[in-house]
Amino acid sequence: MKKRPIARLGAIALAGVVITSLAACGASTDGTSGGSGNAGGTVTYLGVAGQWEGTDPATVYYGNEIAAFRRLVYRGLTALPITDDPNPVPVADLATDTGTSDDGGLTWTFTIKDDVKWEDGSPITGEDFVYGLSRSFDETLVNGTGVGVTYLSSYAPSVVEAGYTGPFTSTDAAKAVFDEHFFADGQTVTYKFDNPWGDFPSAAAGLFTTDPYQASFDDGSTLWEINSNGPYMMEEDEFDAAQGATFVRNPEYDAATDSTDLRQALPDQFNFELVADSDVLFQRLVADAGTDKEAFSDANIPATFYSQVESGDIADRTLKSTSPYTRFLFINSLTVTDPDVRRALAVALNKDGMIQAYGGDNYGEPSTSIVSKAVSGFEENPAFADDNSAGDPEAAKELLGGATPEITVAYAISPTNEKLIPVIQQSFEAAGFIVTPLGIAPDAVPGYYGQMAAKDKNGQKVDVFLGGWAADWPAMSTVVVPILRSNPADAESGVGFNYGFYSNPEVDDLIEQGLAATDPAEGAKLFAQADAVAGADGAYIPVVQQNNYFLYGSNIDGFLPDVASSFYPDFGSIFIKSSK
Amino acid sequence: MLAFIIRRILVGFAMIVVMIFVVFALFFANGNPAINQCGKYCTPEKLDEITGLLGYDKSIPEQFTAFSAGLVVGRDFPVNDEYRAALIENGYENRIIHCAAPCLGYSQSDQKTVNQLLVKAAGPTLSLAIVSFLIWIFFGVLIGVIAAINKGRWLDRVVVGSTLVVYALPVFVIGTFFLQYVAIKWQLYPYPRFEPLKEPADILPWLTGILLPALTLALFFMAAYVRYTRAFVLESMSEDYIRTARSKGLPERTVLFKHGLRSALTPLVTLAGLDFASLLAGAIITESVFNYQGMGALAVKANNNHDLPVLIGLVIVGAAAVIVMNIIVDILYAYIDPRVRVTK
Repeated sequence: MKKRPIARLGAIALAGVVITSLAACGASTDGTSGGSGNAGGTVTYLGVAGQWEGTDPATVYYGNEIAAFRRLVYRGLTALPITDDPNPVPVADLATDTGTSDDGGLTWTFTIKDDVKWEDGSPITGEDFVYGLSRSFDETLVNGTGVGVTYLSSYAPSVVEAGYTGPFTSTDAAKAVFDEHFFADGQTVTYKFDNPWGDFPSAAAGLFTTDPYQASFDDGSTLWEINSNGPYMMEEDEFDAAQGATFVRNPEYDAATDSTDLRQALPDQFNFELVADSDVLFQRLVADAGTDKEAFSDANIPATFYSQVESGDIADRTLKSTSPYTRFLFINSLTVTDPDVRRALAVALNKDGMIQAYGGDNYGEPSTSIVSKAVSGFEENPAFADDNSAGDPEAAKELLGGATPEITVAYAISPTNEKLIPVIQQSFEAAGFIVTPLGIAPDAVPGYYGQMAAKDKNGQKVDVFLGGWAADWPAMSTVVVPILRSNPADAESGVGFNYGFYSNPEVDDLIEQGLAATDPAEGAKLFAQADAVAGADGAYIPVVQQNNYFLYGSNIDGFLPDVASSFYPDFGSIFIKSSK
Repeated sequence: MLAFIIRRILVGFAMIVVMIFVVFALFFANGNPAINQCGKYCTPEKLDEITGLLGYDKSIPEQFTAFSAGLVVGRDFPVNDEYRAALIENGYENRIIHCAAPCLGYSQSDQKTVNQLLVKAAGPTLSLAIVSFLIWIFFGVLIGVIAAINKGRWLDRVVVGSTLVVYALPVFVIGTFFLQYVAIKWQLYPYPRFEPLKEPADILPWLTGILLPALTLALFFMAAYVRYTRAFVLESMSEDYIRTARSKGLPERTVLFKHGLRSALTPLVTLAGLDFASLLAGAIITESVFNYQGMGALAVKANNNHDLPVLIGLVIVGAAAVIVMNIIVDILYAYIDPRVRVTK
C-alpha cells in the first residue's frame, strides 16, 4: 500500500509524549531570534535520498516538506504556532491578521505587513501573493500532485472552468476571470470565492497554495531553487534531492516582523543531509557520534531497529506520538452494493492481525474511522466503535445469511502488503467470502492509485482495496470531503480520494452543511455525523491509526512533533542543548 | 599509424550513430511514453495533454529527426510549439529552456536538460572510476606478480585463496560493511560524502570522501586482476624467449620486468580499458550504497521515474564511453605490440 502524499494537520493525543523543554537557557546571543532555547550551532536534518519532489512552493505537498520549509524559508499569509495544544488556531504570518470575511467565507481580505522582504531585499507585496496563487493553477508546475488545483476547483470553479491554467499559458479571457476573483491593491489582497471557504486561514497555513511568489524569480528552472522570505536561506543554488542542502541565516529576514510562536530560529544553520536508505539513517542516529549528536529525522523508526532503540540511553532519545495518517480498506460501492455485505466485511476484518503485519503496537492501534485522532474535532465513528478488532467471523456470517460472495482484494505489491493480504484473506474467508487477491506491481502504469481511481478499476474486478490518508490541514473537512462526497455522475475517475465511488445523498447533505459552516466546531460536528452515516452504510473499513516514532541525537532539544508540522518534528522549535 | 587511428575513429563514430538509432527505437517501441509522466492520478484527458506537451503525439520518425537535430544544433523545451508560443505571448520567454548541441533531451521530472544531469553526475562517477582504477591496477598487478614469482609457495596459496573469497563477495556486501560498520558503527573512518574537486585545497576532502566507495569497487576488480596478472605472468615466463633471456645470463629481475611482465601486460591493457569504460557509465551498486550521485545512481533514479530521455542519454553516453575506450585501447595495444599495427 502506498501512502497518499500528504499530511497536515490534526489535533492529537500527545498524552505521554515527552516534549523536551522549550524554555531552556538564555536568549539569543546575536539578535537573530528571540527564541527561548540556546541560539547558535548547526543542526543536521537526516532524510532519505530521492524522496523530496521539488522545492518550488507550487510543487511542495508532502507534510514533512511543508513542515520544514514553512519554518525555514517559506512564510505564508498565516501559520500555525509551535505548541503541544491539540487544537491550535492559525496566527498571522506575513499578513497583519488572519484575514477578514464579512460574507461567511466567500470573500477574504488580508493586509500584508510592511518591511517583509525576499532574500534579495525586495519587499513582499500583495501582487506577489496573487502571483503565487496564480501559479497554483498550473498543473505543469505542481508535478501531478495538484492539491492547490483540487481545492481551488472546489471553491473557485468558475476560474478553472474558464480555462485558467496559470500565468504562463492562460488566454486573456481566462486571466480576466482570475483577476475578478483574486487581486491586490498595494499591500491588500482579496480572494473572492464562488463557494464559501470558512477555514481559508487554516488552509493558507497548511498549504503553500496561497504563498507569495516573486514574479522576477520565475525563470523556468525553479523546481529545485528556493527564494526565501524566512529566517534561513539556501546556500546552494539548488536543493539536491539526492544529497540535500545547507540553510544559513537570511540577512534580509527581520525577526521583528515574525513571532517566536511561529519560528524560534535558534540554530545558525540547518544542514539537510540525505542518505542512501533508512538503515543508514537510523544507524547514524543510533551511533550518535560526532555531528550526528545534533541530528534528527522525520522518518519513522523501522521495525528492525525497535530492539536497539527501546533499551538503555537510546530510549530517552525516542518519541512516540499519534500520526495524522490512518490506513483503511476502501469498498468499491459500485460492485459491493448490499450494505449487509459491506458491513459483514467490516465486522470480519482482523485489524489486530493486520497491525502485527504492519510492525506491531509501535506502528499503530486499531482505528474506528478514516479520520485520525490527530485531527481537530475527531470523534469515534459509532458504526465501528463496538467492532471486535480481532474480527468476528460469526457475526459476519450472520449478516451474510449463508451467502458466500466472491470478492477481489486489490493491493500494491510491497513487502508489507504481502504480509497483510494473508491476514485480510483469512479474515474474510472465515466469514464465508471467497477471496481473490489482486496485486498491482510497483512499476505498473498507471500506478496502483491510478488504477484504483478509475471507475472501471482499469478493467479489473476490484471490490476491496487498501488505502491510507491524512488531512491536508487541521480540519475534518480535508478527510471526510475527499473520501466520502459523491463523485460527479459523469466522473470516470474518483474525485478527491473517493476511489470507492461511495455515494449517499444524506452524507452529501451533511458535507455541504459542514462546508458552509463558519464555526469550525460546528463544521467538525457535521463532518463527524457524515462519517457516522457513511460508516453505518459500510462505506469503508477502518484499520489502523498510525503512530509516529522518532529518534534524534543526544544534543537535540526542542524536539516537538506538533499539529503545525503535521506531527513531524517542528523545525521552529529545535535547538542544540547547552554544553555540559 | 595515423591511418590506423583515423580508421578506428571513423568506425567508432559509425557505431555510435547506429547505437543511437537502436536505443531510440527500443525505448519508444513500447507505446506512449507520456504515460510515465502522467503521475499517480492520470486521466485520459491529462494523458492527452502531456502527450502533446512532450511531443509524443508526433510519429517516431519525426521524434527521431527532432532528437537527432538536437544533437547537432540543439533544441528548445517544451517541444510543443503552441505551448512555447503561449509562453512568449504571455511574456515568459525565460521559461523556454534552450538545450545546446549536442542536446540529449529534457527530463520532465527533474525539469533539467539531460546534458545538465549528466554533467552533474559525471563528477562522482569519474572520481570513483579513476581512484578505484588506480587502486585495483596498482595492487592487482603488484600482488599478481608477487603471487606468480612465489608460485606454489604458501604466499601464493594465501593470495589465490583470498582473492577467490573477495571476488565471490557481492559488491553491496563489501560496501555495506564499509559504510555501516567501518564508518558508522566503529567510527574507524569518516562517513563518506562526495566532495567535488574544484581546486588543490579540495584534494584531501575529495580523497577522504571517495576512498571507501573506491575501495569497495576496487576490491572486486583487484581480486580479478591479481588472478589475471598471475596467470599472464606465469604464462609469459614459460615462453621460449624467457628461457633464452635466462640462458644469456640476465638477472632474474630483468627477465621478469623487462621481458616477462611486458608481455603479460598486453592482454591486461585490453581488459583494464574495457573495465574502466564500463565504470564510466556508472557503478550502480556502489553509488547506491554510498549515495554517490553519479551516472549509476542517475540510472536508478531515471528507471524508477520512467524517465526515458535520461535513460536514453545514459545509454548513449555509456556506450560511447566503451567505444571510445576501445579505440584508445586499440591504439595503446598497437603501441605496446607492434604486431597489431596494421599498415598498408
